[in-house]
Amino acid sequence: MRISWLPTVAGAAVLGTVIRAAFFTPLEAKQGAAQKIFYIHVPSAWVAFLAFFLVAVASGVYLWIRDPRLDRFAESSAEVGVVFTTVVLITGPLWAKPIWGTYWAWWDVRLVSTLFLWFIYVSYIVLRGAVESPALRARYSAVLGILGALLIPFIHLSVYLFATMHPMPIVGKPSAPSLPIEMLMTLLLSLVSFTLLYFAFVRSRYRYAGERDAAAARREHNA
Amino acid sequence: MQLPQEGNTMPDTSAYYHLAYTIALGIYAAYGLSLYLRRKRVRAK
Repeated sequence: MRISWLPTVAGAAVLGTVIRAAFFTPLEAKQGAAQKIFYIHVPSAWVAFLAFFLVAVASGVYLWIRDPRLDRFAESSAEVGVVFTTVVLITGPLWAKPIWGTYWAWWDVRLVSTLFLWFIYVSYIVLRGAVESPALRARYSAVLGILGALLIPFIHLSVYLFATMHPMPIVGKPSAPSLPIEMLMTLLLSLVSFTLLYFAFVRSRYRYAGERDAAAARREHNA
Repeated sequence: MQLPQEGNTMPDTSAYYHLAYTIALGIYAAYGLSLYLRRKRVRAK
């Protein structure tokens, strides 16, 4: 069996992050162990935003030059983005319950708009399965892929624009990060390792899409 | 976020932490496995 280097490196990096978070990163003074959800929730959210942003970029360029490889990349990145957003939507409430006293608040714009983002890209996947013509499927899903990504800046800014329980960014903000250096290093490691995991997933999903389309073309040719 | 000082008492929230990590890593592992199996199946066609 041939071992692919990117999934191996990404898997090792994620495992290293989990070990560092569990055994070599101090507990937070007020939240205790639940704060360590931070090292899986924040990088998953970062990767989900990156994934959907790249869907929009690939979709925009697809509409311009109509290269099916861009459509396959957008399809792959959207599916991987949905997986990461699912993790965000599960780990967030599990962190919220011991800290805020509730799993979810329907009035909280950050939470609900992230759920909407998940619905949009689940719809994107459903749409792709519902349209038979490859050219039409690529065009429709490119438009939805671009429109969905417009929600990303809104989600990021929602903590500044509305009253919300969700904390403000503690790293991605104009002033210096407001967390101890041990925690910051674990967070940076987690951002790198989950980004590697994203690229490993997308590469594998992209290759699958290419092999699937080639098999479909062969079947059509033989029929 | 702050480091605990000596004598600090922290709430025991480890059950949420363990559950979140188990579910998240389980989802990523399951997705990775599904990609592997899908590619294997399409190559066999």
